[in-house]
Amino acid sequence: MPQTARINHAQSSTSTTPTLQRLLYIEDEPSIQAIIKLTLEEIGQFTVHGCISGSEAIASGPDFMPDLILLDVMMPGMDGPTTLKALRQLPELASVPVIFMTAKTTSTEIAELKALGAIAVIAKPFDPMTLCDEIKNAWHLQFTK
Amino acid sequence: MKPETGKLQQRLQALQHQYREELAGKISQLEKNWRQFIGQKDRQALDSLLHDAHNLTGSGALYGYHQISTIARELEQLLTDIQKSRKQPGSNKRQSIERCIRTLHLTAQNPVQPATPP
Repeated sequence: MPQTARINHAQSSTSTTPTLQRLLYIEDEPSIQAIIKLTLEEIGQFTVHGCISGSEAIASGPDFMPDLILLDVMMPGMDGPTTLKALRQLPELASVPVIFMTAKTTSTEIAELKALGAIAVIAKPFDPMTLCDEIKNAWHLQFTK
Repeated sequence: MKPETGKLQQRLQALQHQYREELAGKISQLEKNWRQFIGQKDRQALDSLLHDAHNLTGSGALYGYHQISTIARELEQLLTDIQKSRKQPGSNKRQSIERCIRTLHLTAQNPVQPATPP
């Protein structure tokens, strides 16, 4: 299936930005994952699929067909950057936008993560009440560049 | 459809309650990995320990337990130094880490309650 066909092209009435609906999040810490899931589902009203590791994301991410991937940086085994590199090898996920989440937020560290292809970097700890706004803003920004 | 704020707050409070219940266990697991590393010179235990400290730094801050997060961050830095040095820690470093772990235990027994749910 062509990559572009997976993007939900349902248009909002005021912009040409594709609708963001399906989010894959990859976070190894269960208590943080629980907050992310609750926030994305209840506040963002997104359809979400959570993975606790990069390898799980590689196994189940393609079938979920996300519009966007939220990816923790520090994880055991496959860290965020390594996971991103592996996801990009999968045809279904090769061009899905990625947002990193990390506690390492110096300007140099953020630049390094964006140089890997992320559309944004969200700092941890994040505010659960504004996380979805940050995600949506990053999503919209990539279509207005 | 906008989320029901009351229901959301309830669910957040439930998560926070669960986190508090699990906090002592997280710290005990961290200490277990520390003992394993020191006792067996097990570098894998050090990796797990560093991961535990990193996660505690993040989850503590997210759930409003800032003191826990601050101590865990200090611990994380000490452990990162050890990991980079590829050597067993000297007595000063061991004492610093032991102090962090003791403080984590004490703080977890009576953590400062977050003012509002996360």
